[in-house]
Amino acid sequence: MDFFGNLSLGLHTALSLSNLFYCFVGVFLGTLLGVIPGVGVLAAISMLFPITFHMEVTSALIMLAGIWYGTSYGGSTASILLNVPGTPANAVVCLDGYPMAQKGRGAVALFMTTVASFVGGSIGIVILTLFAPVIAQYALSMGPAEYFSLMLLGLIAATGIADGSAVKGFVMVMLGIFLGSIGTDVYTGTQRFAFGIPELGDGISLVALAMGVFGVAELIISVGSVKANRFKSSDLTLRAMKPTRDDMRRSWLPMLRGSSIGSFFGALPGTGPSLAAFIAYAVEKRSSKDPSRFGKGAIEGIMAPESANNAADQTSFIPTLALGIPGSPTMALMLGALIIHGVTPGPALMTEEPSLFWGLVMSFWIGNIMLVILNVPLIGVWVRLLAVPYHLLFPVVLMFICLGTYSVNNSAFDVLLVMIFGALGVLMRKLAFPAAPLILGFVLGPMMEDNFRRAMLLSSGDFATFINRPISATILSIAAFIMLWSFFSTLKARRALTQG
Amino acid sequence: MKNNALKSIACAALLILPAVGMAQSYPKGSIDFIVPFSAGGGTDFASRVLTEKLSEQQGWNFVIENRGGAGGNIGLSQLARAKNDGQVMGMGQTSNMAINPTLYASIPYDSLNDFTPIALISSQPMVLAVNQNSAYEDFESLVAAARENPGKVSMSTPGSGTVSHLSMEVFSDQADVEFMHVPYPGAAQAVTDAIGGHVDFVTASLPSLLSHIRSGSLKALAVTSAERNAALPDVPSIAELGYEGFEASDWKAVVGPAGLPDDVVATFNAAINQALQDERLIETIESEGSTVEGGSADELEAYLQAEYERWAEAVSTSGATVE
Amino acid sequence: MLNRDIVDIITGMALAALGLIIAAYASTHYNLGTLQRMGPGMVPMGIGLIIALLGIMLSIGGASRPRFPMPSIEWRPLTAILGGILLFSLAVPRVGLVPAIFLLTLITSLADKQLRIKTVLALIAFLILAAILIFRLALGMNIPIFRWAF
Repeated sequence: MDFFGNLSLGLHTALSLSNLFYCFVGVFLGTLLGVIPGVGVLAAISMLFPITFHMEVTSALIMLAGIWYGTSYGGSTASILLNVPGTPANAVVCLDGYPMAQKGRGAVALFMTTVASFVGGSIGIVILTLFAPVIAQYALSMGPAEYFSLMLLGLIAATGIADGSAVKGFVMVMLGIFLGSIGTDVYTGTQRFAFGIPELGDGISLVALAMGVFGVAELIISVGSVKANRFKSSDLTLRAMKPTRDDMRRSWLPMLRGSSIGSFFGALPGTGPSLAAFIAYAVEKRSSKDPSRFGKGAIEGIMAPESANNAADQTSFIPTLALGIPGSPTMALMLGALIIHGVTPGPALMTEEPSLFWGLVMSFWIGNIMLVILNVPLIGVWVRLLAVPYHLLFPVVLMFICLGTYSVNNSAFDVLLVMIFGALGVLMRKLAFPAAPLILGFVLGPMMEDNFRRAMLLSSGDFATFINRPISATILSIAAFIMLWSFFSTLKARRALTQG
Repeated sequence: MKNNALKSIACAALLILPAVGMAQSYPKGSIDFIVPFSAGGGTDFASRVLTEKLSEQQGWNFVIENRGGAGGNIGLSQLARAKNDGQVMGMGQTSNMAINPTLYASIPYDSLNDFTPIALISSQPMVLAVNQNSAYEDFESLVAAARENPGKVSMSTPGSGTVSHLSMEVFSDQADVEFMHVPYPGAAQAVTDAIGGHVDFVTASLPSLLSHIRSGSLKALAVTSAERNAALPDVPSIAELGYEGFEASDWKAVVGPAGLPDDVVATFNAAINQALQDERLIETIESEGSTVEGGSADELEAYLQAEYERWAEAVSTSGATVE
Repeated sequence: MLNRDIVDIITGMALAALGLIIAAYASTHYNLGTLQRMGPGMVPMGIGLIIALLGIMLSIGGASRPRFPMPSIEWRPLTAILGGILLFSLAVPRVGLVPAIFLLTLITSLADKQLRIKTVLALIAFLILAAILIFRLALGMNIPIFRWAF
């Protein structure tokens, strides 16, 4: 069947009444899960998993997928309005989204992140539709050495993600890597820094860390200092969501860059939306003519990461569908749903089950359109939340953080971690240490260590493996270039200062 | 205002009432089913499939509680400490019932004495598989290569101390060969790097490999079960290739806290065996490459004892420990 | 010394100490391994040393900067909110959702002086209802509402 024949077959499948219904259920639940801080998409999908046994396989996947990409739409809401990320993938949106809300531009920020989500999602879908098999094969050629080089590139690109002292930012990255090393060592099974606590054997939960240093710390600092009725009522109307011409002009390039970065990381098994969002933000800040605007409500700082995590959501279906390799536990569940219905994921899926594959892909479009229709009117509702006095709002947010974190793994220990990281977060804020690099180090660190050790093991301890492999060498030279470039640009800036 | 609070508490109480008042003698209300792994894994899958069928056939109400962590040890220790009235059950499996007690320096339960065995549910073999373009045509050539170049033939596994890793330690010991063990955090990545050709072969459970073997991106060389597997009838077992007595499988079994009343064990065991006869359930479990087991509670008890001793020996030969 | 950025000097030294402790603990408790087969201690030791180095740099930087105002911490919200979370984490597995939310909200509401007891009780009722509706009914999660398990 030709390409357009496939598309129309897919559209036909996705537009059936029952599939439209399941798509709506999925994106609705996804939005809800995204808005509530802490609670994870994995828990929700696994609850619904048994129901899918009794459903038609395409409908089942359409629904589960809707939950997955729907969370990214809702996830930025709390980041922007409350400085409390809905999911770890939206943590970086806090950096500029919250300052926007404080300037009374919350509605604009919410509207623009919905646009960014839609654009990112759409670009991800286009890439998934056109290049899935090619990209999947390319992803396979990435071995441990390539992954390490890529993570190193990410880390170098992302230093300077936060404002203020470079030393403090770097300390936070290192502390993040240290926190990431807690738990069972993959190679020997040694429990590192677990001190006999069995819960630490699996390491620290990213949700607990993000909720603590971003969410709880924010609540503690804001209680008492945030005045009631901080906002003019005119900020809360629907009219206030209209972006200015300047917003539009500044947004479209970051969206494209963010979507490309997101699509790339999404297609790599094991990386995913959180990392994509952080890197997209870092790239935007680096490539900006005036990086000092970031962290103070720069619209680029919300557009890039939001389009990145939504693009990554879509392209993460590439390894799952085209190779049968799940990039994350959530994807593993979706594969499970396929296998239970006797469908073998892999390169043959597109030819053997065209209505499933193309129906699912087309449902992504429909789901994304539904999400826009669902989210734009909700903006009015969410923004009105800001009119609620803070002393009534913070216990509500705190309850959702606690219960949401608990529900991820039914773990009271994770809630305890939220408390500890909340205390750490307050300390960090008071001493002007940025939180974003801590999360980045935490996400990147274990992957870097793991792949570095694996590459060294496979190369019999020969460092040349990182340079002898062409993809790895290319990535490393980009990293070296970025380092040199930022070195010279600081030098130039200093010279300009002394001369001027 | 206070009234509001009371009202909502009353509402909350009403919501849970229906689950409490049931006339039947066993079970009294809903049964907590502890899955010692997070949602989405193989044990979770088997537990949900089984409890679905039990609810359908017996009208029992299950509440699945995913309590992951420390290789299944946290969930099982919770089960060990639960009240032994049959209202709390759980899913044990090879790693946390037979391997971890020897592998971990300390473990919060005694897997032979803290549980009442109910019934064996399913088992799955490990499979050794190579990339489709691999030079290794069959199992013998792989072993020959490892014998020629000790420690040079690389093998990915889902992790250190997993059934996949330890079964190959047992094999290496028996066959006197040495592979380069490359552990991964989970089966997905171990499989990915085998398909990408970054390691020479992968050893992992059949469910994680089956779809790749079917699609042709991986070629199965041998299975670790004593017999061939129904899903891969053309793939020989290691035992039949001249390594007599070699057998390793990853099984799952329903267990309860120690000292369960005999009638509860009998009722639950009978219900499970009935569920395991169901064709749809068999089909679901076999579709992922597992074999449906079943049998009496006494048989499970003897099996647990035997497996415990076998893996204890494997762990000590491998030299692996977790502190 | 006292007219320098004392906050950064102290934080830097604390970080240096933390880094050294991490490095020392990692190198004495975990195998460092070889370059080909790195042990579990190698990376934490390296990270610890880097943190120590950065801490020293921070201290030196602080010593070369003029005095910086001491950050002030408001203890009331800090203790109330952290205490509330602690109680919640202890209560949920033992007595269930409803008492846990009750305790959490009651304690955390002490963070803000404006909250009256009537408002707090109304808030608790609202939150319990919202939690049950959203987590139990909409998302179908199995968190016991009441439980007695000591």
